[in-house]
Amino acid sequence: MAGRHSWGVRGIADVTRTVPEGAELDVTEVHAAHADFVWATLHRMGVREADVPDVLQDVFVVVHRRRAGWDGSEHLRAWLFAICGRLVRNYRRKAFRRHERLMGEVPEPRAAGAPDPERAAVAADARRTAERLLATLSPDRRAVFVMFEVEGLSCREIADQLGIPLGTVHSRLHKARAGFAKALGRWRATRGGW
Amino acid sequence: MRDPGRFVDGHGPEGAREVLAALGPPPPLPHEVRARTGQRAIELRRHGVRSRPTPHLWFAAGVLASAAVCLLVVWAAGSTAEEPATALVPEVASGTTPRVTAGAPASSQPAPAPTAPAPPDHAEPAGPSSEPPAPTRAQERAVRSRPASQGPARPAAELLDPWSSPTAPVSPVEPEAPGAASPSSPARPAASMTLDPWVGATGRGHVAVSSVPAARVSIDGTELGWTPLVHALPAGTHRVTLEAEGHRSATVQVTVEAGGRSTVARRLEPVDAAHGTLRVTSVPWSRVLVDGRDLGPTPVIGVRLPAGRHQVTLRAADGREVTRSVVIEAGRASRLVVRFDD
Repeated sequence: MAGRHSWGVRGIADVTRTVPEGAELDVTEVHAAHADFVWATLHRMGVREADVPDVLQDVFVVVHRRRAGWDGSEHLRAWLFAICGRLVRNYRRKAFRRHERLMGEVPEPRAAGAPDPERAAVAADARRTAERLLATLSPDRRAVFVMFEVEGLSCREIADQLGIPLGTVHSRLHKARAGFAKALGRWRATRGGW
Repeated sequence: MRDPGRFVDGHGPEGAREVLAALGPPPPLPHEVRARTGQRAIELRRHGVRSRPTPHLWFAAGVLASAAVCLLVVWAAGSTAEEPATALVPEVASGTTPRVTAGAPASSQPAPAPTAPAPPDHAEPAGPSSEPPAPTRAQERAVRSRPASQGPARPAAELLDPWSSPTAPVSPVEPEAPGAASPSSPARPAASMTLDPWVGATGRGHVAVSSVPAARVSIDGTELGWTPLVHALPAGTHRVTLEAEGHRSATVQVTVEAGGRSTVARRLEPVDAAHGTLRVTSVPWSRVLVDGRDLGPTPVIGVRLPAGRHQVTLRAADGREVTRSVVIEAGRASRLVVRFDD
């Protein structure tokens, strides 16, 4: 892990650290404490719904293999977040993901309180569009962007959750917004005619 | 530092609000996934990560395997080249023994250049006085002036020729030498069936194949590449097959004469012959609707339409509208140009 950034969590109450310094990381404890966080992060980073459980499993395999590399100076969630980012980048490169194209969206079963089919179809279409635009962002930036713009968390909350400095949240958010605006402009320009 | 405003609050580019509103917060981790991955985490802690051979080990294994195959091929080639030499040795040996020892090193070298002067180590075993005279320069020249038609690469056995020729009383060897060297060559007529351009130098011609669009070429069932292509073939009649994606494949009989050049040129018909394309332009620009379907603003280029009559409506920005009937012919490109000047 030498050479990698290892910022501490400055001025932020470290409520997520579960392992005392010096002790070896136990993958089952990490799983118990952070599986929800990893699950949500992978979703925010744009892993396909059907693949999230597999990538989630991979995250904990990496955690176990690299447990000696986590020296405790870094926020555990920041470390997990970095692992997620790397695995999602690998996942995007995977051959099956490039070759297996859905021929159309699998129809979702209509929920009991769902609106009429037309509105459901429009919502599904909007969701696909949003996914396509977000796919232009890198996993790290995408996660911060989604947390801020979609989930409505403040920058401070994001910094707390991810265990990264506030300035990093700001810079990632800024770049992600610029990238998203660009992708949106491109999409709107091509939407009209074909 | 104050938080920047959110897109969804009305900041940011137009349309971002609608797009992002379609996304919700991530779903909660399902219980069964948590249980399953938790179970695997326990197994991980207990048994560790099962180690798999790493990619570089696979690479090393591949290199070793290919090296083994290469060695096998070289060994097989060496053993076939050695065959005529060993067959020759007993006959040569009927003369004197030193000649056998002279033959052995030559046979162990698979393909020395035939024009090379007799190696000095051949003369080394010439110890006993019963040894016949070493090959004269004239004999070496005779080897050098071997007719080119016999080919440059000859088996090592022929190196024995100068040793066994006129001076020694083993005259049957010399006529047999080319014959003895032939075990590797009977395969040659057969090889000419595989379209090897080096084979059968007299009875072959060329065929030039071209097509629109570029197509895969097979001759007598052997795929040879893509058009345009020129290939050597034994004289005779051959079947040239052209195949291209989305087009009907064509098979052509072509007769190749020895030393001649035949040409095959074909335009392949598209399989989908029931469509044509349409190109619409207008002055000033307008919106194009074909049979009620909005194709966007002009120019509209290369729209694929089924053959037949279609209604094309152009709607200018100022509200003027023009409707034209267009007939699309299969496989043809049609054009429609409209001026709203009047």
